Amino acid sequence: MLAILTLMHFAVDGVCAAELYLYELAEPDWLQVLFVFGLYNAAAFGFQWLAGLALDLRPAFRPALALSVCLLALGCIGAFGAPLRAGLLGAGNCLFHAAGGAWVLSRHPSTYSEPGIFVSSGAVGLALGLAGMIAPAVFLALCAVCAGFACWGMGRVPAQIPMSPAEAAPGEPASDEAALAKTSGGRLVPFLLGGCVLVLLACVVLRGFGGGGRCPGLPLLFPCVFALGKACGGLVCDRFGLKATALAVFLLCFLALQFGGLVPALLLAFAFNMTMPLTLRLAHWCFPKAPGLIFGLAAGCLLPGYFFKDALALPPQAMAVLVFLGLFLAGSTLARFGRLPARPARTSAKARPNGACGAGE
Amino acid sequence: MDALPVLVGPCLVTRIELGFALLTAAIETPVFWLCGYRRAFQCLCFAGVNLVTNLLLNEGLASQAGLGHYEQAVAIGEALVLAAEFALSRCFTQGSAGRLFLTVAATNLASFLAGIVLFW
Repeated sequence: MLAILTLMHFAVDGVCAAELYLYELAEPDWLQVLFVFGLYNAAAFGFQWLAGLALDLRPAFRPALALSVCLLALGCIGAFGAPLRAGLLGAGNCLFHAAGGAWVLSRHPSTYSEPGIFVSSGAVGLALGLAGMIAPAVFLALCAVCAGFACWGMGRVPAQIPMSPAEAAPGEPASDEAALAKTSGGRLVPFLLGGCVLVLLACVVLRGFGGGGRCPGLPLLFPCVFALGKACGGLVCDRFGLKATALAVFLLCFLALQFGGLVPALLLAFAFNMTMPLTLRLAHWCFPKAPGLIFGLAAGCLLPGYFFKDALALPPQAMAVLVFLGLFLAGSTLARFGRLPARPARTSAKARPNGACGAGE
Repeated sequence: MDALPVLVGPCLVTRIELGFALLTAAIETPVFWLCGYRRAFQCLCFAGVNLVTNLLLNEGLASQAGLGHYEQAVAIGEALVLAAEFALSRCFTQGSAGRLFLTVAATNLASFLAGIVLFW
């Protein structure tokens, strides 16, 4: 299922980008092009939290996927006006991301890899579409096939949604949160977790500003690095734990910022994108009953980076430090409340102490 | 097809930045040792943390130099350095977080005062 949804993510972003590319080729008025691109992005990212919230309240993933493909197909009809088509494509994209993201977060509740793998393919689809390398019809056909398989696969999985890592892994040490909730200080817990989510979303905003890049002549180079970074971030975090991964990301950023040239720029983009599955998963663990809302909010936080790319005069050094601090703060808080797994999820059953230091494991 | 950019360019760290970073590490690491973190591994790691944060601070400030509000940038940068040094030091120390924070604050205060004395 994860592979199908990942492939569908590639195709959904691809069809939208390919349609926008064809529109851009035909439209001589740059102001109109900017308006349509802005409209598409606002529709695709700005309302994902709402679609995610609706899916959290009523987890109708299969109808959402089917509807998203219908909306994308409508958006490809050339007879409609460009703003309407951008809106339809954005709405289809939004619905797919909310449904796919919520499904992946809720079905794989205690690991970082799956969200990373799911989000990784979008950048490549987007780049292929924007470069005009694959026709929208091909992407759309792939979308329809993937949606069919996904709906079939989702029907075979039981309908329950696992909650926090503690619930998903019975036998783990008891959570401090339950004990804390019985005291007067327990009222603070939702606020602390809300604060954690805000900090993590701020990390996503920073990544929206600092995680980009492009290489003239090689349009697929940076998108492939983005995808690799997102996928590797989750895999590395599952293998070595949150603390080691956050530290590795910070040190990679530091190393990349000491040199000029293409390879350090790629390394910086890779490191920034490694944080994507970490922020997603940690935010989900803050509110495990709302995976759709969390995924949608995280997607919406990429919008400032799109609309105000040049407005933020923050040096990349500060971004690297702030992202590391955000992960550290959120990891420490979640470890304190027993919401981090006691050990990296994919290692053997050998016991390790819980939350020994810093950002936990 | 456009020409490819340089794969790996020259190192962006200037000698002055490296000098300041080494000087800061030379001042702060003994203070860290004096505050009770006596293991050689801990002191070595703290010196490394100092080099990393100081280089990042100075590079960041250099990139902001032409934008004005330099004093505010320094204040924010120092606050970020303090937080980052605390967070990074948690990775190789055990014990009370409060004690570590006070130690890191003391080391930064020491290098700040040393800076005032050296550049008076």
